[in-house]
Amino acid sequence: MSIGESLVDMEISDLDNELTKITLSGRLDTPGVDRIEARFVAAVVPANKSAVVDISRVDFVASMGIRLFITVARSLAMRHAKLAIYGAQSMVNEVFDHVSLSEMVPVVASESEAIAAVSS
Amino acid sequence: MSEPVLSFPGTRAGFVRAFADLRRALDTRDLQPRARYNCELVFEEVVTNIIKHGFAGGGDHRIDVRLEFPDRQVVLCFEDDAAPFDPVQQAPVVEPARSIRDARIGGRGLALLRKASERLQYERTPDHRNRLTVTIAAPL
Repeated sequence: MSIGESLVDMEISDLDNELTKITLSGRLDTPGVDRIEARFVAAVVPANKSAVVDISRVDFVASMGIRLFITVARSLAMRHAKLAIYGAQSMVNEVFDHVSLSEMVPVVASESEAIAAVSS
Repeated sequence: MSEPVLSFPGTRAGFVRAFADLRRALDTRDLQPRARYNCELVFEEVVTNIIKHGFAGGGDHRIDVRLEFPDRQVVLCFEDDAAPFDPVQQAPVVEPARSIRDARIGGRGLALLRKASERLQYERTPDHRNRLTVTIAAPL
């Protein structure tokens, strides 16, 4: 893969029958979001289940990445389900803080906290 | 050494290629992680905004970006031929939404641009171009 392509990857798993786990790695810039958005939405929203997103291996998030999380969280809220994000690296966390993302989507440190956030 | 100038079509594909060129140019500099992140964040937010809003009407357009490295700073100077748009005068969207159902989907790019930059300077040039100069702190 050349540097011109976005280095982003996504894994989808079921933690149990009620919860989807998404593991993202790489960059959530515009090319990265373009690459995963359709698959991310398709994996989470139609299932009508809450989801936790591990972003501990995501080293860059721009506004398009934040837009993706808000879009999915809002779609889940309409279906009475929740999205929580966990494991953000420090610069990514600063970006989230600056746009007050945690007031709309739970942003926590660990998987157990994320599971608790979507289960409450 | 001459300062790098990126000149690319104002399209999504042009942006992707130019973003890769920017990252290669930054690779040649010994920047701290925060400065590096901020350079990429500024480039992403400014260029995607120009393409999405400035060039929404179609047509052939180019974006020119000059990259300079004065002492303990990085300066990115963007030029485009879209309609006048001064991001310095725009109020960024950083709303504390009452709930996720009330949240605006987009509009946070300008807030991130301001977060990442030390100084923003806009001018409309005599040849009818937008010129946005963004200064980013790059401590040693």
